[in-house]
Amino acid sequence: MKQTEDPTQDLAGLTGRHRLVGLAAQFDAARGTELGTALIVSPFGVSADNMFLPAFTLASNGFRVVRFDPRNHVGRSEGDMYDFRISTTAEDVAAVLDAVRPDLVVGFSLAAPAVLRALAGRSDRIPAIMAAGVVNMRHTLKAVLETDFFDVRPSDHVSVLGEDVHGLNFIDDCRSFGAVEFADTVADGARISGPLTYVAGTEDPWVSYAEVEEFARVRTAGPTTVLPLPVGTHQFNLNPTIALSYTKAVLAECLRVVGSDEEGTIPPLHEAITARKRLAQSEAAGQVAR
Amino acid sequence: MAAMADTELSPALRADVGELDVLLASSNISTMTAAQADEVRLRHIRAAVAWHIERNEGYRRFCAGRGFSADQLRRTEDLGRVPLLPAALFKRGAAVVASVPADTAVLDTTSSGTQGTVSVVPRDDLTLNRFFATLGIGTYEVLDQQRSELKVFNLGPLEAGHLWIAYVMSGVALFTDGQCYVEDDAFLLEALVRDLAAADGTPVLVVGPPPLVLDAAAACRAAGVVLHPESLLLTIGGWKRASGRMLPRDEFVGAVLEGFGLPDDTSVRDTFNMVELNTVLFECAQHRLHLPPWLHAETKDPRTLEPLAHGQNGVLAFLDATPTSYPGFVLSDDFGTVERVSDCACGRSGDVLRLDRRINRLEGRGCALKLDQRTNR
Repeated sequence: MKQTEDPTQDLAGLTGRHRLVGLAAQFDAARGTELGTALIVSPFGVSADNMFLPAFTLASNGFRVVRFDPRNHVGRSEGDMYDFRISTTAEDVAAVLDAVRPDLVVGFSLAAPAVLRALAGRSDRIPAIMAAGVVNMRHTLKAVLETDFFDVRPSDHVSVLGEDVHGLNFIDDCRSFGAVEFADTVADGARISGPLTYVAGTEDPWVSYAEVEEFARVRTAGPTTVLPLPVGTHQFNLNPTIALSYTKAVLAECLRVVGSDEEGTIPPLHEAITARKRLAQSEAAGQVAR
Repeated sequence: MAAMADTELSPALRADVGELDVLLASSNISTMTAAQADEVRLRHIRAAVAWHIERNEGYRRFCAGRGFSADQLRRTEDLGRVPLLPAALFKRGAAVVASVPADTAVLDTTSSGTQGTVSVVPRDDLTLNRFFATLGIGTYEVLDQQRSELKVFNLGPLEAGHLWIAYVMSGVALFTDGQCYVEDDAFLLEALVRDLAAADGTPVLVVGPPPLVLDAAAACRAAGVVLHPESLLLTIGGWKRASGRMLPRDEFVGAVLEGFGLPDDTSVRDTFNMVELNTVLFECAQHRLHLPPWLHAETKDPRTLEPLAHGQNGVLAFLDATPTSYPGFVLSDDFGTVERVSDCACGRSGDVLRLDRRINRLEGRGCALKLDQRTNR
C-alpha cells in the first residue's frame, strides 16, 4: 500500500489503496464530471472493502469516494476489533477529514456518533449524511445485545454482531467520550453548524425513528433533514434490498448537497458484481497499488 | 383462514408488488407464525400473479385459457389454481417466459444442461436484488450468521458468466468478505487449506457443492486444520458428475464434521435452489427447509397435476412472488413433499419442503453439473 501521510499532499489524483494518516484507505475515481469528494465512514464491524456498493454507486454518479478502516476495527488498518473504541474512531474520522477535506461525509450506523464528534467545532461546515445513524448509544446497544451494559457491568468478552469486543473498556470509553444517551447526540449536534441529514428506517429496531425526528426538531445550530425509509431491519450490508434503499436515499442527498440537478442512477446489481470481480481480479494480479 | 364473500377482497389481500420489498427489508421474517405467513404469502403471490398477467402476454393467454384470474386467489387453498410454467419451458429461451421487466437491466441467467437443453431465465435488476435479499435473509435469520463481516470461503469461481449457481456464489462476494477458490476450471484446494488455516480463531462460512466440500474436508484433516467451532459448511447444488462418490447425507455430514473438526451436525447445512426459482431455501438447525412467506410450494399428482395434500409425495410446484421479469410459478422436475410443521425445535412453524429425487430425464439438469464438470477430479 502506498504511503500518503502528509495531510497537505494533493490527494486529488489518487485511486486504489493507499495509507492515509496511518490508516488503510481506498480512493475511487469519479465517473464522468466530478461533482465532489465523498468520505464514507463504515458501520461497526464492516470494512471499507465491504462498503463497495455505496462507494461504487457514488463514484458512478460523479463522486470521488474515499473510504478507510479505523484503528481497532475489521479491515486493513492496525489494531484488533477487541479494542474497538468510539473515541479512537472519532479521532480517525477527524484526521481523515483534515487530510481529505471532502465535500461531504457519509456515516453509517455506529459511525454516526464518531462523525458528529469529528465535525463538532469545525468551521468548514462539511455536510454529513447519516445512514441508519445511531442517535442513542444506550438504546442501540441494548437493542443489539439485549442487555443494558451501561447498567449491567459487561465482561471482558462481549460478542457484538459476532465480533469479540472488550465490553468493559468499550462501555467506559463511551462514558468518558460522552456517547451514551440521546442527550449526548443532541449536545454534539449543537456544536455543528453544517447541514445534517439522517436517512432513517421508520421501523429500524436498533435506532428509534422517533428519536431521530426529535434530534432534528431540537437541533438549531444548523439545518437537519430526516429522510424516512420503510425499512424494518438494520443489517443493510447483508441484504441488497435494504442496502439499495439506503444507497438510493444517500445518493439523492449527496447530489442535493453539492447542488446537482441530476437525479442519480443506481447501477444495476450485476454491474456492481462485475465491477467488484474485476477489482478483485486486478488486485490479485497486482495491478492495483497496495 | 376464513372464506370471504366472492365480491369482496380484504384490504390485506390488496398487496402492491412494491410491498414485497418492504417485507424483504423487515426483520424476523422467517419466524412468523404459520397463519401470518399464510396471509402474507397469499397477498404477495396474488400481487405477483396480477403483475405477470398484466405484463406477460403468453402467461395472460395461458391464464385466460384456463379461466383463471388473480381475483380468484382469496384463500391459501386457492394457490393450487395458479397456472404453472413447466420447467422445460425455460429451455425454449428467455423470450418465451419473459414478462415486461421492472427495469431495463435484464440479465439472462442460465442453468447447465446437456444436449442443448440449457434453461434461460431473464432476471431484471429488481428480481436479482430480491434474489440476493432472500440469500441475505436466510443467512442472517436461518443460519443465524449475524457477523457484519462474514468471512466466506467460496468453493466456486469468481468469474461466473451467467451460469446461475456460479453467478450466485460470485454474487455473494459483493456482500461479504472472502475468496473464491475455483479459477480457470481448477479447484484451488491448497490455497483454500492455507487460507482456512490462517483464519484460525475466526468463524468462517464455507460454501460449495458437496464433492468440493468433501475434498476440502479431507484436505483439512490431512493438514491438521481445524475450523472455529462456530463455523458453518453450506452445501449448494448436488453431486452431479461426481455421483459415483455420492454419500448418503448423514455419512457426508459425518465426514465433513470429522474433516473440519466441527462439533455437531448443526454446522453443516444444505440449501435448495434451481435456476427457475428466485429464492434460496436454507436448512434450519434441525435440517428442515422452511418456506419463507413469499414462496408457496405444493406437490402435484404426476398423472393429473392435481394438488396433493400436505405430506403426500408428488411433483413439486413453486409459486415465488419475487421475480418481476418472469413468472415464478413453476412446475419443477423434482419429486418431494411439503409438510406442515407446527413445532420445529428451531422455533419456526409452517410449510417445510423435502426434496426426494429428480424426475428421470435423458438430459442432466442443474447448474451444479456444469460447475462440477469444471472442477471434479
